[in-house]
Amino acid sequence: MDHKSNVNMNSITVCIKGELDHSSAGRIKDELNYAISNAYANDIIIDMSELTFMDSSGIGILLGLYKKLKSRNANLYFRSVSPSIERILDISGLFSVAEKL
Amino acid sequence: MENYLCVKFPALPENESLARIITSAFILKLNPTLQDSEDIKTAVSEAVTNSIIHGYSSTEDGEVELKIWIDDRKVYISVKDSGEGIEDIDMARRPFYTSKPELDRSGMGFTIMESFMDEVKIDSKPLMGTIITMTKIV
Repeated sequence: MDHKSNVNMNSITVCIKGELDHSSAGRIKDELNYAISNAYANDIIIDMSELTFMDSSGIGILLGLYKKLKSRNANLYFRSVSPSIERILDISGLFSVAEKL
Repeated sequence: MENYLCVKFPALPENESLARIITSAFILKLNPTLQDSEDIKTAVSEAVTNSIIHGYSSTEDGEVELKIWIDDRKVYISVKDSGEGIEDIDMARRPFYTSKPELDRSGMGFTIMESFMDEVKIDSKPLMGTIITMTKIV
């Protein structure tokens, strides 16, 4: 499994592990969707402490996640973002719609 | 020219990480900063992914060629495919533009290459393949 999720009160924390690129994007997208599908938390926290690499394929997945959450009035957060991945998120504009914890 | 390598591999998604590993290992002798290393590795990942997704979107056969030269502190990289080519390069370079929205593509590949490398050049014609050449001084 590439993620582990933790449900707490009104938030879900999902930890993405390893590399998020085109090769793994489909699988990680499915796992993210599964993790958020069975609970209706207001806050979804993506823990990136074990994410070692991400390129624009990850941006696509996270943007899709944001749109899905927005439709149900849930908020997206990123936690433990490495400097290199932070630059990717910054370029993509994702920090304008999701807060870094 | 101090050193170079040239490697060809099938246009398979699992080879995106291979391209990154090869690139990181080859430029290591320049003792790049972590940021420079990550930047170059990510730019290569974007270029290779573009070849796989866009260059060879209608075929499972296809080959990507990665060349890296290092000369003093300058890194030159080219990623070449013999795939479909790009019809409108200016359009393709626009942030968030993608010809494959159904694949959850962000359309940020070229933007990231251009942000992370000092120079990016795109040579492409429809049905004639694509060569992306990038340089960075580390």
